[in-house]
Amino acid sequence: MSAQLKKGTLEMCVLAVLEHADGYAYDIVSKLAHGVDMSEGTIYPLMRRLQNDALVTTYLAESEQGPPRKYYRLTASGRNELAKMKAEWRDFVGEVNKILGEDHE
Amino acid sequence: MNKGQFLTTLRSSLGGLPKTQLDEVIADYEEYFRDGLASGRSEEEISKGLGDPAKIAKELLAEMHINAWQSKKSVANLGRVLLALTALGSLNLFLAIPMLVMMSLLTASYAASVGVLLVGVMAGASYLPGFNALVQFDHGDGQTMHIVKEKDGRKVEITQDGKHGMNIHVEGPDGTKDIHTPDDEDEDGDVTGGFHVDLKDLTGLSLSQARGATALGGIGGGALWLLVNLLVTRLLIRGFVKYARLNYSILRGE
Repeated sequence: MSAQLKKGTLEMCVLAVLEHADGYAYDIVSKLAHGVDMSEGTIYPLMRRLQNDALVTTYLAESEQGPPRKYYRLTASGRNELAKMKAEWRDFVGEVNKILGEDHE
Repeated sequence: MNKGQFLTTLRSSLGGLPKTQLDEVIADYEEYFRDGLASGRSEEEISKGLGDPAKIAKELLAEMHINAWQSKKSVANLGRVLLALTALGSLNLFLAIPMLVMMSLLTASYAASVGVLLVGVMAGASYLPGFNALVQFDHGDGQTMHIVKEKDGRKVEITQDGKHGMNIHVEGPDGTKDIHTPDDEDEDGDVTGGFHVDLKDLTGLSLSQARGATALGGIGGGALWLLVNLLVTRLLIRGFVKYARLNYSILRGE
């Protein structure tokens, strides 16, 4: 995946990972890392930005590995934003596929 | 790089951050190492995956400063955003230069508008009692004397200093009159002698009318100009913050 495309979609992917269950940083990265080749360290600046934009909130919860973990939860405006991003993404991918698919048609 | 080295570099690169925020960031990455180790990776593998701590620190700082700016729009916070983005290398020099030029033009414009405002205020203040007569003597080296008397729109001003002799300046509703004493000197240093009298009808306004116009024009124009400056500043800062955010969002996810 090219760097430019990756940058634009990373935020959406993080929100999507949190859509059905709250998660902690390592968990989010593990879920993303398979498909998205990202530098793991940028997860925290990214989460902080999402927090600043009030798309996610955090809370601490107990863990088996010693001290409590910081969990991230999608806010209502986070859900709205994700829905908007998904719609835009699908439109965009649809348009691109139309162009790429010209060979087959 | 092991966990200790990673966290030490991160901590030192985040210098200047308040302790509570610094501790929070460090706790985040400690948690990450714990989870990574629990999943069977080595400290070296985890820190390699995380990437350069100095670069992570720059991104965190930029995000925190932008956030601080949004919650409290002070010049200091804007300065920190600027510095943080410059550190990230995301502020484009070609756009930073016009920005600086705009800033300096704006500063000059501020100074000029305040100047006009001051002239207006002074002209207005000359209506107040106490400003109508100005007498100023300086018996020091300069040997100057400055007397101004005003009444009913007429003004007599007598000035004398060591170099130019005495000048009597009379202003009335019909114009101004200047009388110089004879000790003007020509290029060779000789006294040229004789009175010369300048009669000017400059304004066609009486002195008080002219002063009133200056006061109104100065205060009104200066205040308006200042207001325009403030509006332009606001627009510039808004545009700049948008631009800064754009720069930063382009950088995100790298």
